[in-house]
Amino acid sequence: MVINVKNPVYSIIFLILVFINIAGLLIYLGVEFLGMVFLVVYIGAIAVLFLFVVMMINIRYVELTSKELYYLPINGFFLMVPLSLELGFYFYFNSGADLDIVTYQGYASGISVLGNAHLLGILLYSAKYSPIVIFSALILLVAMVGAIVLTLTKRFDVRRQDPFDQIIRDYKKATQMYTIESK
Amino acid sequence: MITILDLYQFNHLVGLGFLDLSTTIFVVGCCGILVVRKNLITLLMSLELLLLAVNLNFVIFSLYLDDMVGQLFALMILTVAAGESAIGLAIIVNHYRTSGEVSVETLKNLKG
Repeated sequence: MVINVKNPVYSIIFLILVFINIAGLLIYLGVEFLGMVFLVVYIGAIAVLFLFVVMMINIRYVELTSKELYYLPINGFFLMVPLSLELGFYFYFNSGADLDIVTYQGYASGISVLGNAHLLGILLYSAKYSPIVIFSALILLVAMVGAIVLTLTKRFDVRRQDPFDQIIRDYKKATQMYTIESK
Repeated sequence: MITILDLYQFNHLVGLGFLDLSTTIFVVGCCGILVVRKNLITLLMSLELLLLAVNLNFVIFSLYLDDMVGQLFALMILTVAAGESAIGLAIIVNHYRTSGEVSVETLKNLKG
């Protein structure tokens, strides 16, 4: 539904529905913190951003023509690759293969004592994984600066205030005395 | 209220069934990018779907393998998705200002 609806606003609403479903599933699985963060970030930030852009840009309704199927042989191949990979992975796991885990942070043993968010926080600010926090912060900073730089364009056709020019203006130069003789 | 032991066993028995869901979301996102190709905003939305599916996979395997680091990486991918959508939408707005439309098919005019 997200990709097949003609109107992009409806498409965004279905996208929000998918996000809500996933967040509910995560909370159901016992990953409460990540589910809440999904809810906040995906719906509060990303979906609202999409809505703003869709309302700013008026999009012509593009009908699905037969020209779209022109790319199908090439794209079908690329489509089959992740699908077959995931299916193969799925059957591989269902066949009872053993996994050798080199190092792992126990989850089920820790969650009985602390909460999910507490556990994630301890792990996030440990010395081993704190570069991830710094890296994500850097990504967000670069994204913010990049988005501002991309959308900020200086318009020259608008008259705007120049505060420095206003302050530096001297009244003695700006006003002149005229003597008008009366008849 | 489910206990922790129930949760653990539940994740080991049923948890991989959620891979069906994530695979479905991933394939829908792939279809949106490769087959439908309507406008750039739909393309970006299907990119979000792909990242969501990957994220879900990370969390599912984090629960299945009883490893906490998967959820950490899911958090990082969430950050990447947010930044990517912000920058992508900024590029779309800029492209709309210059060319006046957001269709994928007319994007080939960028070749110059």
